[in-house]
Amino acid sequence: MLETQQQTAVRCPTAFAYWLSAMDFAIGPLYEVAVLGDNGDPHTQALIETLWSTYRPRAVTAISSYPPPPEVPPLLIDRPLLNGQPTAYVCQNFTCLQPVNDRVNLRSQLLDNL
Amino acid sequence: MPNHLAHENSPYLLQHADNPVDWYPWGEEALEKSRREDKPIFLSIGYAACHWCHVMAHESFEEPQTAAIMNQYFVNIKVDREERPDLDSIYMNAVVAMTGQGGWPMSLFLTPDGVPFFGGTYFPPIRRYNMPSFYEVLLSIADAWRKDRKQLIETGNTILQHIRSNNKEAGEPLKKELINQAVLNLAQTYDWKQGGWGKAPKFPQPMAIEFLLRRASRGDKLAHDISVHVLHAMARGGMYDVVGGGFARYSMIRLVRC
Repeated sequence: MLETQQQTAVRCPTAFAYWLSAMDFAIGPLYEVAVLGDNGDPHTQALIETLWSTYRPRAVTAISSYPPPPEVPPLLIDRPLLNGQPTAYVCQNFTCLQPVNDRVNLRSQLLDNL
Repeated sequence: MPNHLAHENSPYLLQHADNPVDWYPWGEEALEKSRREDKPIFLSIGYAACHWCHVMAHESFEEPQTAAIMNQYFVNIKVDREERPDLDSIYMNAVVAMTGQGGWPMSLFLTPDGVPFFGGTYFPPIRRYNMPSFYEVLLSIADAWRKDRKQLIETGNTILQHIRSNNKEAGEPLKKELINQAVLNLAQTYDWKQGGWGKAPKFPQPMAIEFLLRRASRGDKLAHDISVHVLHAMARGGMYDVVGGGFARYSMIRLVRC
């Protein structure tokens, strides 16, 4: 769909602006970030705040308590907690970096990759 | 009882949810039904603001006798061209190839594989304007599908070949440089003095701003500068409601910033 409409979208950008955003997203690169941990745990909140501290339009994120319920997206499946603590995984093309427990390491991975 | 459009999001499709025609949205369910029941597809493409789309709906799709013929001999699919411009573009090429002209409502007959073999635009309920009635068209196609299917499929394949040879844009991968060009096009019409695009009345363009912010996040300075400028203009200008918060729908004068 995007391929067939790209010329038109570029010619009339205010009329097709959301298509242009979709084209920009489709070109990628995309990253996935999974965060697992109880919502009330301050360590989980620290990971989420780090993730959302800046604009990351090419990051696909999924957050769940642990263990995640069965209907969650595949991004959250088979992601054990590191050291039994709230954990974040930064992945690309289904290959993940080392999981992290704290905001400093998460920020570092995001800065390097996003 | 509503048909299969009842759970769609498009207002245009929802307008047809109570037709006696058993409309399906475009999708595998309808295509599979067509294959399973060995019935051709009647595809109707229109949009909410299209006058003749509504005329044909009132005259034919809301008419029980016509709907009964449609349901008996065809799998009926309704498409909102504003929701699926890709399908609209492909099948419009087919109608133009078959009739030398196009328009909406677009009315096509397809094989269960989605290959068009007959089409047109508006059909009246009775013969007029030198056009056959929709009812006659339905019965003729249903008859030909039973008695002369080979010929219909051959016609469809010829049209398909024509569409493929003409549809050069389809299948071309997304081009990064084209997206850069979109930023330049937005910049060309940007009002650096007052903020925003176009003349009065001036509408906020949140989706254009989002696109520019996406480009800015990749390091595009021009996209960054425009998006920051327009957001500042909107925040400082008269369209921002300083008491209740939020932004007005549009500005009657050229100024986003008053």
